Amino acid sequence: MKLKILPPTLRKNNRYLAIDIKSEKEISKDELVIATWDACIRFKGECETSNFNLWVMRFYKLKNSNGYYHYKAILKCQRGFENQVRSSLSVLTKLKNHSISINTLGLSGTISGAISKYIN
Amino acid sequence: MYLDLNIKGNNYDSDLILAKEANHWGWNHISFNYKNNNYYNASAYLDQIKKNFTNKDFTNKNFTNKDFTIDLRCEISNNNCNQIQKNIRNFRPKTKCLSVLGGDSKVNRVACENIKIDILSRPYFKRKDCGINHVLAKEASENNVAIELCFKDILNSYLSYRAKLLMYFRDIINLYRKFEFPLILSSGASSIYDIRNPIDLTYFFKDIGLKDDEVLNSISNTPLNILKFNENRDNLILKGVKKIEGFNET
Amino acid sequence: MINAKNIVYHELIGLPINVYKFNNNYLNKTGTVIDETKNTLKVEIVGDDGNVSEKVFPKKVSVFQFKLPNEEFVEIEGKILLIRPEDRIKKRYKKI
Repeated sequence: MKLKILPPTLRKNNRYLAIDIKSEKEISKDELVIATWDACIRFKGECETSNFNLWVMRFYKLKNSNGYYHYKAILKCQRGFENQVRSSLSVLTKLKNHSISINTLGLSGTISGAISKYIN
Repeated sequence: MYLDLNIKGNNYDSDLILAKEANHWGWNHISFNYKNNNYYNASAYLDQIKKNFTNKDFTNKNFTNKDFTIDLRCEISNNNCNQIQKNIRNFRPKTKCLSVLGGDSKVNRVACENIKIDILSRPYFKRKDCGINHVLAKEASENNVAIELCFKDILNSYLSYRAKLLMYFRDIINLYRKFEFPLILSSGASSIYDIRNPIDLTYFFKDIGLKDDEVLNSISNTPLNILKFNENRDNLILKGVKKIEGFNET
Repeated sequence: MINAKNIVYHELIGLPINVYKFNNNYLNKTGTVIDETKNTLKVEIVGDDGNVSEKVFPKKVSVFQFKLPNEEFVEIEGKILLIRPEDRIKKRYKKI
């Protein structure tokens, strides 16, 4: 059975990042989770990554054109650590010997706010 | 004083090697951790291990620590809640330290609500969250149940699993600051490669986020209080009532 | 008979008592219990010079020690006795 949710004063405060992904081969949602955790651990280390509280909330696939695959996603991270997440995600170049690049579109406090501003 | 309440015991030879190594690095007290099946076999050869650490040879260079005590601890691990209650009734009058292996959410709940248990160890074992929420933390502080963070889990993992474990440790520490249940840190060693210096352990837990006096409390004061309280358990009748020798005058 | 297990249900008037602690200070005043209410215990103390005095102690912040007729000594915290003496028979106490 699931545990009861913490009261709002004890919960962690989160922010939502909208990101844009271009890759050479197809990617699924699980592979994106592995890619982001790997990028953060290699750049910052295990001790700092445990602060970030990374989760992938939404994953969208766009029309492919010009020979690369195009995706957009929404990432959750803890308030106060967004700058470190942005810098460690921008350093990622390869995933299983295929090139990949991640850019952030913007930051928002709610999921629906991030969708309406940066994805639509 | 540095106390380590969680060292895995196996048989006479491996126990002797682990005890000598821990004495060499400066621990003051050790408790060997046995499951409830093997507990009676262990108490047979405990006296023989203790004889190796008497105060007779002060000139022997191998023994750096003169005040060194050894004890036993019984651990109950089961998935059935009724079996756990039966085992508690059997083993409570025979040990100084009784603990329950957490992991299942029902087992965590039963352990926090029971006043006869000393330690709930590893509530995050094989789970995807930290294992405790505010309801369990409040009950653990009422019934004086200590929660144990084990160092061996970090040694067994690497990369993203280790980062998630550190996240669960931080969640438990946040709840500890708010609800003030007792917290215990231990090494959980099972072979000679797992034993660490007590000072190295304190600096590791300071790096995670605990403060100076909190780490000192969890390594020396809380385990001492558990052992002292259980020595008097024969004289306790109800909560707040105990037998004494005569009218105390101080 | 009175023993250590049923002292919390038993009548306390007439037992020899030693008030051990009061607000975390060590007191050690010995006497016998005269009266009992919901929040207090009335104790008669015989001083060194023969004076007999009655003192009233609140239960909430003190620790009492009783001597039983079968030569046992029991120490009880006052906060578990915070109930009227006629209702103390039917109360359930927490196990340990």
